[in-house]
Amino acid sequence: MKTLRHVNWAISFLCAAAVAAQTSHPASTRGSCLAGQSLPEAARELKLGHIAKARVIADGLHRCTGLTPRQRFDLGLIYGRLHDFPNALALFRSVDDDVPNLQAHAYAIALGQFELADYSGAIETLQHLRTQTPLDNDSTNLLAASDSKAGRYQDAYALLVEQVHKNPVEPLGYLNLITLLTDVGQLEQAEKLSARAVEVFPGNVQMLLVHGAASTAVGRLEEARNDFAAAVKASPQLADPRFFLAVTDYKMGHYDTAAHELRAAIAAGIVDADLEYLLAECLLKIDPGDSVDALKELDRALKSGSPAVQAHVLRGKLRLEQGDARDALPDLEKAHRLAPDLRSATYNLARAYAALGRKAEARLLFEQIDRQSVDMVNELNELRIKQIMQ
Amino acid sequence: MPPRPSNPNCRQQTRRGFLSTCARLGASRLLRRSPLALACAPPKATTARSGFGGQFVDIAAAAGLTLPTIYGGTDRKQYILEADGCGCAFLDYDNDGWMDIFLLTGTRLDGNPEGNSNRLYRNNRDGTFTDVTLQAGLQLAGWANAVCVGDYNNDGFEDIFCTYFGQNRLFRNNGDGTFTDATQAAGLAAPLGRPVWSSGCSFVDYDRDGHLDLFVSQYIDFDLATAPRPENDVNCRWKGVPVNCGPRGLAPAFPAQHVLYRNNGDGTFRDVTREAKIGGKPRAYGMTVVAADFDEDGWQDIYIACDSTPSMLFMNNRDGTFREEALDRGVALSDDGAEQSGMGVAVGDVRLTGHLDIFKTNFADDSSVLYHNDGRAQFTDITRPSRIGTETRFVSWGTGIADLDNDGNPDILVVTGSVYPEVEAKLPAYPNKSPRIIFRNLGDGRFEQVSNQAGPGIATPHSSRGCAFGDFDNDGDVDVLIVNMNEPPSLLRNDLKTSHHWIKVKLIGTRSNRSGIGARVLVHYGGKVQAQTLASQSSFFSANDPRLHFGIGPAAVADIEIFWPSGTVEKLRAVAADQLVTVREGGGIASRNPFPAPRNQGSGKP
Repeated sequence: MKTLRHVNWAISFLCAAAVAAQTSHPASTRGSCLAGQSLPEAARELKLGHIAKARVIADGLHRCTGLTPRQRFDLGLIYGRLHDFPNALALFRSVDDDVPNLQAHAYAIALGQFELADYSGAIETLQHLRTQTPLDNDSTNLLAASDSKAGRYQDAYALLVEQVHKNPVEPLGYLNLITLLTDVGQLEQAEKLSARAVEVFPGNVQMLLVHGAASTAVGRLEEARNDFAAAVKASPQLADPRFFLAVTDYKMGHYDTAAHELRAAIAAGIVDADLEYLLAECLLKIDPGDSVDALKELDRALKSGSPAVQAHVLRGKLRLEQGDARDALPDLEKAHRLAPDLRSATYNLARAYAALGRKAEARLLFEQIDRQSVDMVNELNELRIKQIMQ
Repeated sequence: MPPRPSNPNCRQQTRRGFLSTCARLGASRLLRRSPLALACAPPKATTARSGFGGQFVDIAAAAGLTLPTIYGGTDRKQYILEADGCGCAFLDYDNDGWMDIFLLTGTRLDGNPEGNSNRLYRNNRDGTFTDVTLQAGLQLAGWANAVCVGDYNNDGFEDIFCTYFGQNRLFRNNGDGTFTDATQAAGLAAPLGRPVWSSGCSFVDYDRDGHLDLFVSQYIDFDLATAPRPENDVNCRWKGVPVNCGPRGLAPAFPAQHVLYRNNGDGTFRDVTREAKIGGKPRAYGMTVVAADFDEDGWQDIYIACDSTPSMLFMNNRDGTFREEALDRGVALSDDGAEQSGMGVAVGDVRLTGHLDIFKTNFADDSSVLYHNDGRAQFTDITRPSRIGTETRFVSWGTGIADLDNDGNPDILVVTGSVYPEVEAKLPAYPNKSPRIIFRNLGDGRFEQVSNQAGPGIATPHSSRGCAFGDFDNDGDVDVLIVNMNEPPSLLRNDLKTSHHWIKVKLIGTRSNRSGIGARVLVHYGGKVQAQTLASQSSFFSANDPRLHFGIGPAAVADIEIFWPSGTVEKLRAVAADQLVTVREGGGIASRNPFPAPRNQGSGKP
């Protein structure tokens, strides 16, 4: 959801901020009520990741009484990006349906509802919109997502099929439909559709990766490898194709080949901590008894500056395995801080705490894992999805 | 079983915004969901450092074990009920000093084939067996799962307990070659109503009163009338192929998670699950059960391999209650904190530290795991450094930590087989039948896979489930009995090529239970020490030869320490190699039997 939330609110906000920047609002020209300045300023802070600052600006504007309907709508978008969906929804609903226009207004409300897990509300909003005007791509996507979340897979499927038919040269429809099929376990169909997408969009790296992923999901690793190799050839500078090619070789047990590919990618100047992390995993497969070289790769991964939660976990785990819980701790604590829901980080941090006699902290983390373990429905879905996506 | 597809009740998606994930950010997330849940069918080249002495030949047919284990569909399984299979046992039911064979069987959805039954085979002491099922009164067919063996009434004859989807069975050994179904009389009859799916079982004297109690693990709440089928549930798929559903998506078993029955000492049992604090831990698909004293406090603990849920370790509080601590002690999950599809369990001492380690088998695309015990039941996952983790191709089931070449370093054997026979037509990397795996212990903390050096009995593929380890021909090595799905069993005779020495220890409890179940035995040889325990179930739903076998390499003598479940500790000095010593609790060595044993050995008396 973070993806959808981020992408959608970001897209919407970029439009809104641009509009706001171009608009002058004489009614709000004092202090924090300078909406013409404050809205773009909040956007900048958000872009820089200064959430608290953006929040202060937004709250300042929220207290203003003279905001125009459009400014209220734009402020709603800011709250959306701040993940304050109740405030966002309230602001959207406080203005007329045609602010800024029917489509954008309904979309914003539906997105807020979606974020608050009110999927039936989102569906209702968008279906009502559809009675007034044809849905654009964003609204269609959101309606399909809401349908799926509400368990209305057939409706989602029908929408996306229609979207692909209407606009057969638009990759988005294919990608969404493939994802839907994957999520409902129709892996063979997903694989077939992705194969068709590769034909429709020849040389499209994204399609090659998706087909490779779908082939992997149905256990056809050779085909997946071919796709990833083609993607590497098409875009040798990209990290993703390199990673997937190597990961496929890893899955096939070709650890030496995978290590060779990863070393080539790193030598080509591609900076991605996952490559070094995967290389470390390969080295541990090639010689499980020797972790020295793997640790060197992990050190490099962690110096590269790109996000490397897995590398932190693995380095911590290896140190833990060597009986050095104290040395393992910084990596595992950092990994847990970066990804609190990542089980391997939680579990190994708990093990490290336990080894250091910090029983209470270990217990807390174990309980966290334990709670996750018994949440059968959520866990089931997560695991199934992971299984499909592997 | 694997983290398998779900049923329709669990369809609700939790991954929010799934459509945009792929669409807007590209395909990367399709693959990069989890760190490295990568293990997936790597074909393994075996590069053995040196020759492995164990050589296994399947002599089942020649030995007269020709009847198949019937278990559901052969080419396709509609329900998980048909997929899990069952176990087997080596036991000496007639006390003649030779291992007899008990094999469970299942049935089919469309009815039990004529003549299909569990089988008891008497050892003819010449490498062959005679089917004595009928005479023994053990004829029965159903969805059998596990067998555990123990002398619950301390009369000197081993009794048999079997779990079923349906009514479990306790067969009391009458001492005259026959058994009586004592289920009802012993208070073990299930309440009327929908069948319960019991899975693993283990006799265990948890309260040290000298009587074997009984622990039964439970699997899923299953109903043929409502269980989803592959063809009408899109979620019943594995790698895109429609397959049987579960256990994920199906509710854990009812009415209780796992059940502990206390032996009243009068031939009856009482359900003490609640008062023993066993039942509090919800939601686990229990499989094989092994009871042993993992923390060496003199009291029996209970480990349960769990399918698709964290495995469980019930630590004995020494007051009739238990506390579940698998997570804290490091034996619940993989080293990434993930649930695994636990099937079988072996307990032994792979690093020769005198403590009981745990080896657990799991599903395909995952490796088995090896947990090293520090003696206080704090375990370290040593799967990777021991080089066990490179084998991920097959679904793994029965297993044992056993010194297959008598070199003094216990090895590991695993039997394998798919639960989805229909998959191989589409995905040849996942065959229905697959070879057995042997990890040879190199003695330095590492193992090497020697499966292709260990004879045709190992290399020949089958879809196997339970297996039992024992010396059926009394020649001083470890042989293996294996259940194969819808095929006759395998009886792997070990034609050992080495001249290493060995010692076998048979236990007779006096203050402890008569079988000596739960005893921990340390054998000291050539500067090494090795621990074993006598368990009434291990491997996958199976029971091993109760005579503990220690390979001792070049050593000619060994010291033996026995930690009886009663608390008695017994030490035997300078015991000569290459013999079976029978130890009576508190009385030292009662008898010595050099092998190969004469065919008329054994009195038939307790």
